[in-house]
Amino acid sequence: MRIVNIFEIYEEALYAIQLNNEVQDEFRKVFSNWSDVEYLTDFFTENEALLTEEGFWRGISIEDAVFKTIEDAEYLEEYLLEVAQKGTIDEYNDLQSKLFKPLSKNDSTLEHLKSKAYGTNGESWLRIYAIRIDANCYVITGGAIKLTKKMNDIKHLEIELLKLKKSVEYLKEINFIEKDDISFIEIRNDGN
Amino acid sequence: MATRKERLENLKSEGVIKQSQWIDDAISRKESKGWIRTSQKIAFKILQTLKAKKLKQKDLAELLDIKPQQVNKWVKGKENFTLETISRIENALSISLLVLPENRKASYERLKKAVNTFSDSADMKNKNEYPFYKPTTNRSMRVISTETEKGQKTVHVGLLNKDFTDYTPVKNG
Repeated sequence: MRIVNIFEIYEEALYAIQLNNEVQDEFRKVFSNWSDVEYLTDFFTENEALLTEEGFWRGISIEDAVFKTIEDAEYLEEYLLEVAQKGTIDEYNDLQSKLFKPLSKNDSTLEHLKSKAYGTNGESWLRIYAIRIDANCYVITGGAIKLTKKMNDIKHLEIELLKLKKSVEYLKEINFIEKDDISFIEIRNDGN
Repeated sequence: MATRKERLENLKSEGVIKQSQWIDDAISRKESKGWIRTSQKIAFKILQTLKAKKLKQKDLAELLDIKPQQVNKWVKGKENFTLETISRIENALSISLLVLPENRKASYERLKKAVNTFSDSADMKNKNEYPFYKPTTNRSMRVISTETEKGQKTVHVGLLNKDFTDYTPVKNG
């Protein structure tokens, strides 16, 4: 796994990494995947056990899971698009207050607090992972559909942790960041 | 010491930082919102049907004499299907992808008319009909009528064709 480029989503505020085996940056990729019926159907079929009555989500069908994800992602994306199109990041529209909240300490397995992007409509399993450079500068490292409580329970979530680590190394290497006191914030849009 | 803004500008000029196309994608998805959901539901139905029939996407492609890549586009749920394509897929997989909601009152009136049209058969004489129907998955209408004769009720079950012009009794209950 190598990071080959950084993509700018919002000037000086929001960036995303690109991995060597991907044609899209991670931010573009997550929203593409979360609107892809085949991708979502395969994902929920593979993780069907977590959708059953005994699982955390208690008996949601694969079809309902697919369309819940699509709707949650649409809502989140439209909100992010609105923020991006407003043209300014200021005290009324800053990423920190609108999109980010501290992650549960129990989920952190690295030395810094990890960021997650929550989806909307109450409980959402959508997650976007990012590095916080400062109050208004973030680098998206990936996203996931998190069906379990802990980030490292399942392999694909472990991959996201690895991407976070490698991203920090890469950002220092290209002089994107100078300091060590970066942290991780979660994106949210839960109406609070 | 260079500011972060200066560092970022340098990285852009060196090509290390590029412009993401996410905003263009997001705008496109927002503008397509009206028909995209229908496309996504069709995609899911196709995937379900292929799985149930133990077919692969390339099998459907062969049935329709098209490239597998076209089927793959369909199942992602981002295709703006034509009615002709939907019809071809429906016929190839023997499924219904698009069902338009019917005006219930108009349907009922047509149903009654069709049943009454064929009420001259021996089974249907001297009856009080209470036809009602429920749609079946193969789009024919199952008609259930009750007949009262000498205090006894008999249930007739028949099938209407989808144009409501023909009624075929299939059994007596």
